[in-house]
Amino acid sequence: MRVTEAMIYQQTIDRANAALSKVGKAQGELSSGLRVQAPGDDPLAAGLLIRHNFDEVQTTAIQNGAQSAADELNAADSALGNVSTALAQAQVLATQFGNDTYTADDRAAAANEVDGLSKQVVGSLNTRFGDRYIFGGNVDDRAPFANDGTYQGDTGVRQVEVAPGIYEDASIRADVTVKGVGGGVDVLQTLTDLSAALRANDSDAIRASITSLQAGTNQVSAAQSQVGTSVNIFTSTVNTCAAQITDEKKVIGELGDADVMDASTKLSLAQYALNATLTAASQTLNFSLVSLLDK
Amino acid sequence: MDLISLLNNTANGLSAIQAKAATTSNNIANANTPGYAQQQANLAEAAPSPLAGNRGYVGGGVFLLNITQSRDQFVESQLPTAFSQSSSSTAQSDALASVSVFNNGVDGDLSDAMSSFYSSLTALAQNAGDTSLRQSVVQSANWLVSSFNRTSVAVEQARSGIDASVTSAVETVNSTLAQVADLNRRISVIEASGGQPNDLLDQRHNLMDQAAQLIGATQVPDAYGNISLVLPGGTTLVSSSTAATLTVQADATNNGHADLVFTPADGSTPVVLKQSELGGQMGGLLAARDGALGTASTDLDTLAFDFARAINGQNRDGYDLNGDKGGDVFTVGTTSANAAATITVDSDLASDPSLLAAAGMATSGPGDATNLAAIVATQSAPLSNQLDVQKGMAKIVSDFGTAAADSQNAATFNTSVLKNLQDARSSVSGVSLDDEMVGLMQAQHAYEALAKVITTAGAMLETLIQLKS
Repeated sequence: MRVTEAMIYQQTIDRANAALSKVGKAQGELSSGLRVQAPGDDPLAAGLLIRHNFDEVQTTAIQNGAQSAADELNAADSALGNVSTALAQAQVLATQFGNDTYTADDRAAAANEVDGLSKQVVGSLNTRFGDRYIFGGNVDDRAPFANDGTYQGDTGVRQVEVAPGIYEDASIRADVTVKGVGGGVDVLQTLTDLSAALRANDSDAIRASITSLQAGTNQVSAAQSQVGTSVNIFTSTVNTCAAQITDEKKVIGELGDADVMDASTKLSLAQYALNATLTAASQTLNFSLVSLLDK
Repeated sequence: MDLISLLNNTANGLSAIQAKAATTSNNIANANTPGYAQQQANLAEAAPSPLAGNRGYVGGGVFLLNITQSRDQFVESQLPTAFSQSSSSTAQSDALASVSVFNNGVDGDLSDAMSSFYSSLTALAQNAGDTSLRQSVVQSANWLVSSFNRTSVAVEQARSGIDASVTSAVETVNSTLAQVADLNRRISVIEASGGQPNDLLDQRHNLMDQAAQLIGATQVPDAYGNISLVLPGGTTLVSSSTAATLTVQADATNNGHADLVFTPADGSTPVVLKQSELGGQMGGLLAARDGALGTASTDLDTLAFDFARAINGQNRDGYDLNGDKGGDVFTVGTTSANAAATITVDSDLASDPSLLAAAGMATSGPGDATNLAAIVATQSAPLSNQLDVQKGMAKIVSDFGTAAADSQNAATFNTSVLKNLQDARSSVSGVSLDDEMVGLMQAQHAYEALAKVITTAGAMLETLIQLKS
């Protein structure tokens, strides 16, 4: 092929530009730390990055929700523990003062103690987590139990996402656990009845309350068991989410982040190519018959 | 042959060699002139003179036959298409590469805003009555619509930038077409009279290269030395000495973007040129504007519209904190047209976050997040394109990236093909200074030799004259 000076000049410019372009790209990759800067760099990876970033944010949101639900259920478990303790104490009092050896005054004093336990139970059931009452169902902006033991909440059970579109119960129905709706024992009423029996100095009624108190204790224990199961689910969700987030970050890094070694090698190669192009050009462009004839 | 004829032949030879040297000089001077093709002074042997007595013939010397251009028609026939395809794909690639709104790592982009919005809804589901969490949802919604607006505006600005490029290029195209038509006329006149208008042919070649680069015009020669310029779609831009004109007009059906209008040379009814009928820079620019960018714009609008309708529809199924039926969360038009640019947060909800309908029943307490869970679930629900929100966004970016990568690959390939052809052209038509220097020395030596012949012939004549005296 016949080679003209214009071809050599143009090829020098083209090759220098190509080498410079590669230097710029490698430099951009290194300085930004990103392999995929524009979608055109890797269209498939660019689309996947959006999905994985989205998934990471959503998984973090689910993790936060699960952690919050676990914390709230732990608070509920603690409150139910207090109720259970109060019921156990009431049961002890019923057993003790069901004995005919006690006087009416002794039983009246015990009644006061039972009233105190009732207030303690109501206080525990009106526990708040953050600014929300946790035993009122969906009615979480006011105390679920009045001083007289009346339930002021509703039948709602809060549900929290444990995986996209999958929900688990994150609260218990206090109307069922405490008030015995659906065939159970009204725990607060049992305490009220025990108090009344003690004040009435009615040893038969006192002894009769022991069965109800035991049933109430079992009812609360069952709720605690349910709460424990839910806590386990949400704790497991938190851990699963943490692992998923780690995986997502890893995938995002693999898809979009620059491999520093690879980018550095590319930069070195591009700089070497640029240097070689310019050196070759400086030699070639000096080689001409005109310059030889001038000597 | 007598000595006078010898002197005449030598004089003719000197003249021919001078022409050769002049042609070499012209080649050297135009070595870097765009469109210039190396010229060659073609010398021919003059007719011989018979010797008296039928003793044979004596050569008649040399004369300048003509001066021709060095062009390889095989290479030249491929160049217009190569110019067109290289310019088209490069223009398209450059236009798409300049759009950074879909780049990875841009903080606060649409993807971030969308995931943040759903994340805020998930957080609210923990405590649906919480005022600060409701306010957070409204803030996320504001960020989201702002991201839709910004992304849409960025895409539309890129498309408008292409309009400006096309509009400014139209004047150059018209000027180029008019010059080609004028050169057709001048060349045919000169060639009809037997002339060889090399300079005009060079100018026309250069202009035709420009026409191929600008709009993808290919060349169709006729028997009279004219060259017609024809668009890839078959529309004739230049025929003989007449040129059509191009103008731009706003297309109301395409967001007011510029249409390219072709007005034939005879002034008959103008027609709008389709992008598929064009090549070169303009074809590439319009392909980027109405292809990848147009698709991204439409898909963004569809996504914004479908997303808003999904959220609004679910919110209307629920009840707000006041126990009233939910309303719209986002305000969009009745169709998807310009939805991404115009979507806003409903003004009532923006000022009163309690209107977010989280509850499933009117009589529920504030903690009821039944409907909110359904709103959160819209992120996984297929929209009108059968993709959910997340996949819809990924598809927009991925499609745009694929178009950008394809156009870049095409640009690299087409530019490589063009460079090879340009090298082939330069190899045949380019000026090699080494060649010209050798030619110049050759001419110089020939000229010196011929001068020696004259000196010798003169001495011979002098000898004869002295004999007679």
